[in-house]
Amino acid sequence: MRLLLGFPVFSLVIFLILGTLPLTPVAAEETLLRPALESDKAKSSLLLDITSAGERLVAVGERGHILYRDPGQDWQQAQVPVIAQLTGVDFATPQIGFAVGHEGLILRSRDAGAHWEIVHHELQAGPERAQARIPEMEERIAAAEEDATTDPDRLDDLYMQLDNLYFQAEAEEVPPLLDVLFISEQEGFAVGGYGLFLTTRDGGDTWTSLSQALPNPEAFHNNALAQDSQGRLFIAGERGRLYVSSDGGQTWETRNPGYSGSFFGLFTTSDQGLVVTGLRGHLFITRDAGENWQALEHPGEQTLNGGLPLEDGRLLVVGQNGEYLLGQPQALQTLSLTGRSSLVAVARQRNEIIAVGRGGFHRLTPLPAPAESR
Amino acid sequence: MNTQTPNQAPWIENLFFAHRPLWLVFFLIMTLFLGSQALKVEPEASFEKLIPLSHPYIENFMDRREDLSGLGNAVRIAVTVKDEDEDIFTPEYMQRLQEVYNQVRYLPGVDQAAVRSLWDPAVRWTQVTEEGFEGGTVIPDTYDGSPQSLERLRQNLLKSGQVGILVANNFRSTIVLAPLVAEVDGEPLDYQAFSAELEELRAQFSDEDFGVRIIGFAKLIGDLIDGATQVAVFFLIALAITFILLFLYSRCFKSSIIPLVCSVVAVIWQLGMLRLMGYGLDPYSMLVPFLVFAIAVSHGVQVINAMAIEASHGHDRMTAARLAFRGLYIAGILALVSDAIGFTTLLFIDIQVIRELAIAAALGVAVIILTNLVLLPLVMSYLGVGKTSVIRAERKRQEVSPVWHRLSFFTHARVAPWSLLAAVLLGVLGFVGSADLKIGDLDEGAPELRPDSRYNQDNAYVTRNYATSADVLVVMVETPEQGCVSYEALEAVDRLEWQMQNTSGVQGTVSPAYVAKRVIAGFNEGNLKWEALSRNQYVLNQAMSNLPAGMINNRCDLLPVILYLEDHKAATLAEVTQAVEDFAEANNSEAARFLLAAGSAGIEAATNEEIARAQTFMLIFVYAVVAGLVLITFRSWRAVVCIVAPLGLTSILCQALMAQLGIGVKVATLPVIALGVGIGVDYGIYIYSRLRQYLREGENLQDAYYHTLRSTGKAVSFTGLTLAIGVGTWVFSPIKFQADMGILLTFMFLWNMVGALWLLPAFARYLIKDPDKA
Repeated sequence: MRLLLGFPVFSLVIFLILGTLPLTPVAAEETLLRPALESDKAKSSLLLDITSAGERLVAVGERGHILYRDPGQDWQQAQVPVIAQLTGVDFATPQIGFAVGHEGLILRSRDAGAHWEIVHHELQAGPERAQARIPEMEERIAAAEEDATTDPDRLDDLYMQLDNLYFQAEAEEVPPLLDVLFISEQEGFAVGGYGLFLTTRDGGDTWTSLSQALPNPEAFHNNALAQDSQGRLFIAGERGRLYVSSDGGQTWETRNPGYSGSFFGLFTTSDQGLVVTGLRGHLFITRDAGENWQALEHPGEQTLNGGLPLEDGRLLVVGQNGEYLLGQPQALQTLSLTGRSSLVAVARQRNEIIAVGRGGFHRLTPLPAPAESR
Repeated sequence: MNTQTPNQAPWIENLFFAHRPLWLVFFLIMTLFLGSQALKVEPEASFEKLIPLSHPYIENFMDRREDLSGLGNAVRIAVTVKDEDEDIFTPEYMQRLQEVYNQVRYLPGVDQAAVRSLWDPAVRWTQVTEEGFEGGTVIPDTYDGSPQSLERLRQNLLKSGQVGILVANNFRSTIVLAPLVAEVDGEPLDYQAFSAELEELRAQFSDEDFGVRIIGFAKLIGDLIDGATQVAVFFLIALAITFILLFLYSRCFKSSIIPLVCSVVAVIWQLGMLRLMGYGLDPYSMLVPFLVFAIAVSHGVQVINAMAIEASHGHDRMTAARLAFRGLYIAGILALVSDAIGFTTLLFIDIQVIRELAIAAALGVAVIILTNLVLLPLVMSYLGVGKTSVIRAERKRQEVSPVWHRLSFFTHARVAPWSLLAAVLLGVLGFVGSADLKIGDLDEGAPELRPDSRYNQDNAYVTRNYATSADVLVVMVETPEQGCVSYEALEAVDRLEWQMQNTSGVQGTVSPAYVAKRVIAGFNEGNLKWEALSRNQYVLNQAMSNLPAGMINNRCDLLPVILYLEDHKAATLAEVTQAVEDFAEANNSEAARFLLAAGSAGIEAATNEEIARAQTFMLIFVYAVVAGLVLITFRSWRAVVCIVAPLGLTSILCQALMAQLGIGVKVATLPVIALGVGIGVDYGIYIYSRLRQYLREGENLQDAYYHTLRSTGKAVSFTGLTLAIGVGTWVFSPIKFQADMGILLTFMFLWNMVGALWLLPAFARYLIKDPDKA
């Protein structure tokens, strides 16, 4: 028995309908600005991303939790001014890092993750941006209507986009940011739900929208960001969307690995490859910037999220319900975490490999010995 | 001794003795009538009566009871695999489960449509696919018991999220969850009958391969009533032992059986009147017939004792009976009235069972005035005491008693200081020992029943194998109507949850916000990065429409936040409720008001608060009443010290005993303090009044005390013994709190007797030098 709901379309519809509902103007900022509770249980709460800041590991998660650990030390909770859910973290330098999350929040730390400040949120910026685009869209519609050769469908599309802008301009809520990537101390990108795509060129002080640069008129979610060893940028998203930019994020092209389900994670391999992870165990690798893709077969069926290359060429990929994959790309084996907690991201500190997800930190080392080569 | 003739009788004596047949007929008719009523008394255990209804927590709960009904009243029936090496994935097990499921659905009282089991089509698995959700019933439609279909069942279960809820963590049992309806055919659900049906079900479906374990409030109450009813047997045992003691005491069959019969009449009247007043017998007030019986017997003994003495002076039956009545009625009425007043201090506790216990007990002692101070001498005026009894009384009067002689040295200047020193030491010891006396119930599981009872074993099994805790505190979050889906309310609920998870004593939490977050992630392809509340009202509406029953009410103005606690110790409850109150104060808004408290732990927290409040108040009050009565009776502060100080020692020691035995101050044990002091004071009154009489006759203290002991010492010790036996049988009750009441009352009755015989004379040594002041 199957229930065909069609997520992406469904959720887009939901998101668009929101504007029609009367909303009491709450002090959104007020709920935003509650500082995260300091708690012993933060390290076992839902954590959603983990990264390295030099030797230090930094992880982010629900309720504004940010935790960091130096090698051989215990996890410590950072001072965070918000309780919103944080979904991504990246460090431009070992000292300067950024975390993103719901409400379109972007936080910055200048002390290797111990203290954080808000540099951006979308609660005002989002509606204002939409408002600013309305005149331009109205002009485009007017021009299209005057042009007798315009395809009626195209016109409908423009009207829908205009309606969309009206809604967004009035909206109380904004899509979440889902991942962040800094390619230099000054340049960074953040991607999120409903096509959200922001960039900074001044070390995070100001953020502007790059959504228009993506060939994503349906406003599908942008789930993950990565840069390969050649400096190319990649975004993986909902419904098999994958974009690549070879000019530092100015222009983007679509690449299709040939899968229509959603992608959730991107990571580079030690041999200049790039891996994209997706729904229900789908996993593809490219070694030519997305021109050609190869599906990596394995017995697992769980949705895969983050991953990591190991020195010996093996890959480690973590997924839902405690499933993780280990092995050479062509010989991945499925393993299962005791307790079957879903895993979202994974990072290494010296010889230790730590995954995060439901239940906080999960140490995966020592990994099982490499399986006999086939 | 009183040797007045009948013509100088007071009017009240003539009132009864001048019309003996008339009165006997009256008593007979009343006994028959009240007896027929008493037979109709029903055991009951009403939930409302156990809780402090005017406590704010309970008021909040009662206001919202309807809305929370989906959370509360259900029984869980675990069908277990007995073989250690087997699990539930066998065709035999699945068939047994299906049989149980089908049977449970048709039990009267069960909400048929709401029953959940693996066999229920509403229990489903889901998984996210490229197209959306995929799902189905956990037991495949094609299930045929084959290894393949059992393997599919196993896969489906892992995807269903039911592990820990309907399926045990170790896959060796599953639960049939049966929510109950409040009424069956317009009548409130009869828990006792329902519990009996469940027992039948258990018997039908348990064998060497599979077991059945049942928990839930309805089962608990059923077991409680069943267990409490067994106490009736103890009454017969107490009756038999008391008869033997009476016979040993009087060596006369007549003198043993008549007081016994009159005491039983007192119990019949008490029960009949209770029924006429519309009360039933709950597991607490079941104590009262025992108390009434014991008190009645002790007064009966006084009457028989007095009659034997009068008869030994040569009076005929009628005169002996009249003189016994005349000598005892004032003291007897005074003692009984003071008992009754002592009991009424319990009315200050705002818990209905305790109040009803107080009313029943006060009624009972009032009845004793008629049955044992009036009916008994009337009957005896016809039958007379036996010759052996008379001769014994005469002989006793003549001979020197070595025991009483030795005890009289308690008044001696060499002994008294040591006695007082010992008492002080005991008091200090008791005070230290009672330092860790706790409020509330301390045992795991259902503290009403014994830890090794079947219910508690079943409860421990389910707690161990499923992700549940028996100690549940529910915070009720009130929102404006239709406001339960607002972001502001849910966001605050979400924060409360996290705050509570960071409060010690809280094991875990569940709330609509928590469920909604998971649903939202589910609608976003299971992506955990979306597992957060959305400000988008439509998303919230969608998420909240997927909430399980009981988490949301029709008016959408209530959100329950369920806290699973580590235990139900008073300190834990106090800490958690305080944390909730602090949160409420800081976060109550128009969108959400945080109210305590529902759930077993919420009710217990309220009960504990009421008991802690009432405990000190009641102690002060009961001692004030007792001291006041003594002061009025004897018009001397010295008498107050002599009589009340030994009681105080008993109270302290009783608290130490409770602390050492791990018995908390709770609904069951709080009345014991009042009963123990109220009845315990009788000994002191008897002894002191005699002592004063002999002192006034010019005897020195030791002689006066020796004579006191000779005339009443035996009656006092016999009274202590009969009271102790009456309640002592309770120690063996299957109901834990009845056993606790039995232990404590037995201790208090015996120790009060010891205190009166040992310490009263020691105090007298220092306080009563001048007989006129006595």
